[in-house]
Amino acid sequence: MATTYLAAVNMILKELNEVELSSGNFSSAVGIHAYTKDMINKAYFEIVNKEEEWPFLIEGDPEEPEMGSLYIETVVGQKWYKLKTASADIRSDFRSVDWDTFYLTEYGVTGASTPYITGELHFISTEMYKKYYRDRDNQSLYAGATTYDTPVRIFRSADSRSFGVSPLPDKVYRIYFSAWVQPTALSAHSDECVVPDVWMNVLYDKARHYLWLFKKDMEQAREAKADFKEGLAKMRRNLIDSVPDDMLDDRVRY
Amino acid sequence: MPELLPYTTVSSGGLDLSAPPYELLRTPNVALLLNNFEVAVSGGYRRINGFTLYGTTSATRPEGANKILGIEPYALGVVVCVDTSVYYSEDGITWLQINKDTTSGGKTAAQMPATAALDRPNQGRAQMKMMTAPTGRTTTTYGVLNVATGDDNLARFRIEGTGGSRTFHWEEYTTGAPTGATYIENHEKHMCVVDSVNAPSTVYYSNNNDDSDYTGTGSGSIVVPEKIVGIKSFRSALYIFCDTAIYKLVNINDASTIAIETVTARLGCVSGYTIQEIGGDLIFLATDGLRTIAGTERISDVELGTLSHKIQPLLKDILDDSADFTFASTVIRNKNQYRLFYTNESNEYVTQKGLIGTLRPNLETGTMAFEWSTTLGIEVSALASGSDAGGEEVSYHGDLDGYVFTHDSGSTFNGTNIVYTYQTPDIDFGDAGLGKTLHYMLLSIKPEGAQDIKLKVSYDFNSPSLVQPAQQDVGTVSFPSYYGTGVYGTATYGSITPIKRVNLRGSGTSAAFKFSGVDANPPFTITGFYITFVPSDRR
Repeated sequence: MATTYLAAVNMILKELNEVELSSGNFSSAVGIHAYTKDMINKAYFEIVNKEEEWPFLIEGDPEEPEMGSLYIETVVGQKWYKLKTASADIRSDFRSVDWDTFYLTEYGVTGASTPYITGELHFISTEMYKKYYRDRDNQSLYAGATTYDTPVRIFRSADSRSFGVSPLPDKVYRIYFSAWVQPTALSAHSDECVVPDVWMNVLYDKARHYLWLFKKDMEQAREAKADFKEGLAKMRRNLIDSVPDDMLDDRVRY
Repeated sequence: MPELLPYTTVSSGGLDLSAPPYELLRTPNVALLLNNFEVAVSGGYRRINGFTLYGTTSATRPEGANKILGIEPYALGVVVCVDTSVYYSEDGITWLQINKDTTSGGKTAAQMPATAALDRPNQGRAQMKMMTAPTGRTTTTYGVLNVATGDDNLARFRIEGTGGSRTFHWEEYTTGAPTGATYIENHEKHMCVVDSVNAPSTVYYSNNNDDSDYTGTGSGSIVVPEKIVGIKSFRSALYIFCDTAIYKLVNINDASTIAIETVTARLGCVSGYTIQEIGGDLIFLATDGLRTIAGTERISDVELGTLSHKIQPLLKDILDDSADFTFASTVIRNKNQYRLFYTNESNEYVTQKGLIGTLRPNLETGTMAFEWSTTLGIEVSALASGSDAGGEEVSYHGDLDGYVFTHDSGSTFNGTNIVYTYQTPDIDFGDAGLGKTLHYMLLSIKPEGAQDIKLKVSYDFNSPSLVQPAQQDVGTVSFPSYYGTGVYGTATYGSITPIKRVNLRGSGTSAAFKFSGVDANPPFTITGFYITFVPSDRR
């Protein structure tokens, strides 16, 4: 069970020997209690901003067989696709996108049948696209559908909100990729922290750091900061760092 | 590690409702609420005793639901005035009507019920005063109790002898003035009375050593220009309390020098039932607060003369509505206490209020001063203290429903849980601008049995800008068992004055502590507490 915002705040208040909040007075908290609420969010953002690809912020289901957590279906002859179709502006876009995960497949497309066309979509820079592929794709667009083909590469739009495909798609494909959502500030007492419980102590350490600073207890603040740094490193190793492809036992038997 | 600082305060000084909050920051010993507590002579704030029915579980009322008009310990029991009758009881179960035509020979207890009653149809608030060996009654067993109840004849009651053959005597004064008697006092060998109905500004005084005659040698009367509301003998003078002035009658035994002297013409007394002698002085409710007569004589109408300036806001409320109240007071000598009850007959039992003033030495100056607390839930229509047959001090009070109680006894208000509250002022721990996080309290407490005290801490004058802690239990305090009372397997070991640790939560620049409860547990005394806190910021 995930830790609620109320539980997280009360954890810090208990450490500070302050009165705990309840669901009844949570929203109307004032003074150090309101500050503690703010600092839980600040600590959360601090953790989130340290890395782009925290697994607890990934959008969709990362267990998809196509190795992406979400997909977009292409439209015949359409070059540009919004990464997050429901997003109104950049503030609600994905926080980050893994451009190495884009993968094209017919699997799951209505009317498609085996053998499915599949393939990696390679990311190229906008400059590269303009230099080598833009004119060809434009000619294709003018010539009509007969010149469309299966996309093999992708590139990013200038505002980073969309991606383009090249060549222009000749049919409907699914393009899978992985993306991470923006962190959402905790607000209601029942809001659940997305950080796994086992790593909540890292968040608490950072929040304690801010609270001890508030209380002018520099020694406690320093200790909390050191705990945070150590905890964050462990968290990163456990949640993000890749497992090595090969392992070597270099012990020597005498 | 942050520095954990200590702060200790004792509980003394009683209520202080007059000082401004910032002055109170530095007087943590006083209280802003001290309800159903009393300042203990030996220090600390003690939850008061309750009161129990006189006659305990078998108690009866003297005369149904008629309110008790007067009460006085006498002989082996108490005398009470109710409606048109006067009763005597030694057990609170059987009440013997004593306003009977006992004739000069008196009647035995067995004869009394069949003896014709001498109804007192105009009976109002009653005052009773004893003369133990007046002329003609020098060998009386218990003395003669003079009964003044308003526009009825002044009466004298006595019991002669002991056991079943003892006789009860009721005599009424019908010779002439005073034709009635409301206020009565024994002064310098004379019984002095005021008939507030027929001669409200006249003091009549009896013959020398004789409370049965107001016409013979040594008797007389004096008149003052104001309505008298009470009289009290103090040292060599009879103080005459009027509604707008105070006089004293001096040299009552010397016809050539007897005189009326003015104590003050600038203030009067609200009620004669508030006048008591305590601490070598007379205390009374004046039109500007509680005063001593000595202080009033010295500085007349200056407010400095009041001894109640610390509870002046409370007294102002009382004085503003004084016409609505029935006042009753007494002195509990073994506690150095003056108790004043002001009962509004229109109000519920539980809302009736009173004041308790304990005379004790000031910790800093050593001078004796009153320290005040309040009562809530004690309805008093009549009140008196005296000594029982064994010489022990005992107090009784009567209520509006006709019950008679042993005052200041037991742990409940006749079975009703006692609601008590002691709240300190906000304490700044030495720096009103510095935030502090409180860690724990060491409460110095003298329990007299099990208790269930609640503690509520509030920060920064109970600021709505802070999340205030919820009320918490103080927790179990081990109390000592005494030889002869402890039961093997039940009684617990405990210190006489244990220290109870109470963990605290929260922070602020100042904190106030409220100890409260509603229970039937025995009293306890809070003598002070120690707080640990961590100073933090000046935000």
